[in-house]
Amino acid sequence: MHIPDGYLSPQTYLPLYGGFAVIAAVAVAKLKRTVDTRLVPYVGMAAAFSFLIMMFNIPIPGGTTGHAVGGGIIAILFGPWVAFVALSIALIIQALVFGDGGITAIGANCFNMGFVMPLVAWYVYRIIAGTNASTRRQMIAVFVAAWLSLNVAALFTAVELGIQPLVAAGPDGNPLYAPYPLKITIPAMMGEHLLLFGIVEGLVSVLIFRYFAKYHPDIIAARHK
Amino acid sequence: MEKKYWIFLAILAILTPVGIFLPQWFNAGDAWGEWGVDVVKQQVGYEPAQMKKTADIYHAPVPDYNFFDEEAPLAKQAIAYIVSAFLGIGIILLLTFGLQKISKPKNDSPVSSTTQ
Repeated sequence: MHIPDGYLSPQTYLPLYGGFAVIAAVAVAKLKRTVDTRLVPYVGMAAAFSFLIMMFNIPIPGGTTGHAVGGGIIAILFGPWVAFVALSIALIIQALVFGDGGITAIGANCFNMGFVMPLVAWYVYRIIAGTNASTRRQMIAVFVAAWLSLNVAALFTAVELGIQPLVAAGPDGNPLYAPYPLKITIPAMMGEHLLLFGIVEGLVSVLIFRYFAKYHPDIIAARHK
Repeated sequence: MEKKYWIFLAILAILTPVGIFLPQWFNAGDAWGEWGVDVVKQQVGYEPAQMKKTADIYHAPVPDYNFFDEEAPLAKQAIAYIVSAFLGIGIILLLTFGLQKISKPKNDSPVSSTTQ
């Protein structure tokens, strides 16, 4: 889901950079104002976790690869703003140091995986788990939230890629950037994320959640207020 | 909790080569839509005019978590992958340590600031 350089036209990546900058300003203000400074170490832990989990490429035999992101479970445990900052740190380092995701696409990738994903997971989890759920119901909520949030992020990515032939074509009608239309990008991205990578994201998230439920119930309780 | 958590992350970092062995065993390639320009050209029959130019805009110091040759033996790539994992964690730690310094209020308790 890390869009490389060369795939997005400036008319796509510049607005996404703008959106990312606005969200980043809001996130920093929110964290400074409302969040306990004790939460800051969790940003580092969460960023490191997400960075590592994204290195575990999962193969589709004979096909492509993908990976979990961790943006859902981080949002469920520490809130969407901590998740946004953590994911953005991980994604920016991946782009600048390891060439994983383009530098022109940092805004897009941070928007998709750092903002959309945590926000979706946060709301889906709260809707399903409510304020007073049984552990079983919480687990189901975590799985669905993680699975769905990865898929919504994948859908945003697919749409950003798939509109390129529409927004940036040369005089000969050929796309200047990513050449795949929406009818190719959406089925390709969604099929693999709905059926495989999303399931892995859900399972990993439930495992992490179980650990916190057992050893750090205070953190989960704080989220249920 | 913190110490245990970092140990857990270190174990994860050591296990990361699973993420290059598995795709190799199952003969799987890049993630969808993350191909190089040459692969895109193969797929659609032409090279999108602006794609190549933008694709080469930046060269990362450790491309693909690998500081050896792209064709290096898998064992070498695995070592590079682990080193990259620790390098990534290290940079994240440095950054968040800085963030912590900035976000910490200079006077934690208003009492001490008024009495001094």
